[in-house]
Amino acid sequence: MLNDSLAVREPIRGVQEEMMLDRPNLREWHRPHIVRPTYAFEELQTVPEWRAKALEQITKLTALPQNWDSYGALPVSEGIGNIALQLLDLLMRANTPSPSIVPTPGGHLQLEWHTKGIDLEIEIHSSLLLRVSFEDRSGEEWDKDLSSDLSDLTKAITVLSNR
Amino acid sequence: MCRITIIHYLLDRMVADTALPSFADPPLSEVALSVQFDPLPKLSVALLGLAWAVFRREFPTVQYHPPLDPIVERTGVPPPPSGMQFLMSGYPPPRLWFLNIAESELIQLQQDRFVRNWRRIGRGDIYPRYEQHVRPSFDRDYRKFFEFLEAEGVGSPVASQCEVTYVNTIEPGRGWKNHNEVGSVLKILNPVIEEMHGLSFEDATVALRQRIESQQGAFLGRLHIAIEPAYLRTDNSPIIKVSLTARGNPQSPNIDGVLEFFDLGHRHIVNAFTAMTTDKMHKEWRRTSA
Repeated sequence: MLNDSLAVREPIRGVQEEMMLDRPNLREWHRPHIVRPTYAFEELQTVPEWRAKALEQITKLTALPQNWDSYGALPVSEGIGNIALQLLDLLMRANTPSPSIVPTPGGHLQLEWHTKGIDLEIEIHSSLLLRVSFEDRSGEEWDKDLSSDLSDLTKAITVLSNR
Repeated sequence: MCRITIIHYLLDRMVADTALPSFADPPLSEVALSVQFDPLPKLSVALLGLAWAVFRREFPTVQYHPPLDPIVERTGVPPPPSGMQFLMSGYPPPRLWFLNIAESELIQLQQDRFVRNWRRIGRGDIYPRYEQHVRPSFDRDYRKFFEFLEAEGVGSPVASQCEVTYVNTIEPGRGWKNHNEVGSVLKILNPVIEEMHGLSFEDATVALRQRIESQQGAFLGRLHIAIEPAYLRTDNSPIIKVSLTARGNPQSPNIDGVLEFFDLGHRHIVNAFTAMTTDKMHKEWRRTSA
């Protein structure tokens, strides 16, 4: 790739267009690590089953209207839906059971696992506020608000996946 | 007690700022300050367009681009996989660019992000400095955006991630001529290049990640450094592009917390750039302090 002059020149072409030419281009540094909007065709075959299911569930939940529970519940925003998907992409492994995904009256989403003697619930308030509750009937139990450090959650998912 | 804490904070900041290295003629081509916030569902396409009125006098040109995806620095989990699919109902609201006449300054606006850029247009342009221009301009314009959102009943953005980006375009000169002399610019590569002695080393593309932590060791974010060989389109001369992006959590979700992270990110970027580049290039760029 480095010997391919086009590939090497590509990034700076963007910079130079922005610096020297008349029409600025998309900002190379702002290109996210994540590609929108879909998998490439060949990658479609490898989308895990849990993800397709989660995407379908979250899509339905983010379409709920205001007052969906007839007690004044708030709708779930697309932003919260995307945070839930991103979180699952970070946490899920091949041997992790699929979560249940439920809306909360406050307009949040909750990811739940109640299986193998473990109760794990993650209420997603925002990208940096996750209310997590973990109970392993063989002993460990905790409730925490997590922000950017997901170490405790990763350990909980490891226990759940390996049991 | 509170006053004492504030004074301590200011003193810490002054010490940290005065201790920063500085270059009179840095190879900077672009600087950007960005804040991501939890999406504001009421910030519709129509309101994004209305926001232009706030900035139109200084930024008379508008462009439309696809929105940037959210990125959150986390620890305790592997980096996110690529190629993820997101929810999209209908057409996602675009990212608007508001450009000044010279196209050297830019505001980028979308439903969950506000960005302010400075970039070098001509070779003679002088970098207006972080403390004197880049930070105050962001502060002023982000506050204007806040006021607009409140006036329109959209609500206040709750910042979730802040980002400082410096892009350096290092052109050949007295320090180096070809990409295989990248060690004359970036001393961190010299041990690798020396190990390759006798082989025909041609160039290097390097990506580095560094944790940003609080004094107590808590995770705050990351500094991403990318080194790439490239060529100037104008005359095909080789250049080395060094991009540094500090991204992480604001200390509080309000404007002060955002600015505080920018200062932290700025310090990490300047210190990292200075540490990884050679004394010879520091003379070229006229290092003036620390």
